[in-house]
Amino acid sequence: MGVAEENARLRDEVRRAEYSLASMREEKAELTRLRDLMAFSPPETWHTMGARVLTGRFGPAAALESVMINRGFASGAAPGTPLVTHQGLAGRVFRASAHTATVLLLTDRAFRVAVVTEKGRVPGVLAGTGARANLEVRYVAPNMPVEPGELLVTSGLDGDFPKGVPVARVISAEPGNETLFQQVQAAPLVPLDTMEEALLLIPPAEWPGRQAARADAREPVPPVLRQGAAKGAAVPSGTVNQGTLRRPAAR
Amino acid sequence: MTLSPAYRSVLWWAVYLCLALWVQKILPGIDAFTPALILACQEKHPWQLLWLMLICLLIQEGTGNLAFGGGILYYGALVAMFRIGQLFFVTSGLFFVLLLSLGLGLVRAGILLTFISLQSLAVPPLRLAEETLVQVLLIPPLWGAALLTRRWFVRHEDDGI
Repeated sequence: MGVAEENARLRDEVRRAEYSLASMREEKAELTRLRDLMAFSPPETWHTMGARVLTGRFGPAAALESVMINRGFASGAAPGTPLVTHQGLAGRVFRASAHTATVLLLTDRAFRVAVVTEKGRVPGVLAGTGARANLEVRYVAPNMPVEPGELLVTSGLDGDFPKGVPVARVISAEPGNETLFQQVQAAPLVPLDTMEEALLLIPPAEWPGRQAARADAREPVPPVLRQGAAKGAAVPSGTVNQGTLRRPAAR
Repeated sequence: MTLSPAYRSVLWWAVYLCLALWVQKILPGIDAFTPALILACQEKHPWQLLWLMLICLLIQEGTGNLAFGGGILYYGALVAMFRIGQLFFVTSGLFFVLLLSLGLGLVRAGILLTFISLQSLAVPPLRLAEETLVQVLLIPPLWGAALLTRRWFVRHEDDGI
């Protein structure tokens, strides 16, 4: 074998090794993300199912703040199913086809979830205000202690989400100027723009929202209407269990 | 290797569509295919316009949250406005594209508001207005860039422009 041939072979090997190294790096990064994700421990009687984010908000007909995932109603992603990561709540399934589903992110203006502050157990309703904007916590009573930096977790009172899932962190809490309630701003815990993998939280069979979700799978209902229905839904005591969720470190 | 004008034309459309997808990825809510369809209307090749419109429709309708039909109305309005504009304006000029862009912005806002209202969705009106404005402002420069690169790459002699 001549020097030129040997040189070409070695160059080829280096190219292959570089490609292999890049691929390994990508796999390592994915492994780290998935290990973090597996640290999430679902509430008792709920179980999780991994999902990959296929695409974010895209195109002129994408009116909602949403992502598409690679799970559909064939694998249990019925409308209403919460989507979480190890950091906290990301959104919930809005519309499901057989093998893909559209997830409404918690930054969407139609998104609502009942929350309580972690320390003071002050209740409120978290509402999205649009992409890259702070979340609002509404209906927080004026004299209740809410501190910046405090974690907001789901209260489970809306019947759509299990109790105790971290959702957001309080940025500011000020007395309301025009209403009796406090003006509380919060930031989501999950980096929604860069989320690649997540977990669907599949509720137990007796979960009250599950029947509605099954009906929704047959005939999708817009989120604003579903919220109205969920508010009136009764939540039997004892069906909600607080999960052992890993809390993000305090800032 | 020398490609025939037909192959070069198809290649140009393919590259444009890929770039438009990238624009839509970084600017959510924007339709970056519109300048290509305006260009296709100006080239007066009905089959070319038809298959291009079909591809755009499948992509836009498939990736959206709204009920099926908004894209058909929007692209239908584009062709209709172009045809009507032909009666009154020189359709190959920038002035006509500016007018068309403005008209399409209004059509887009109207279609979105109708679909959002029919589906009982909550979408911030300000965001809709912003995205519509960005699209209105984006169409003319994108169309200009597309026209120049297409002329250079395909070297049409019978495109009617």
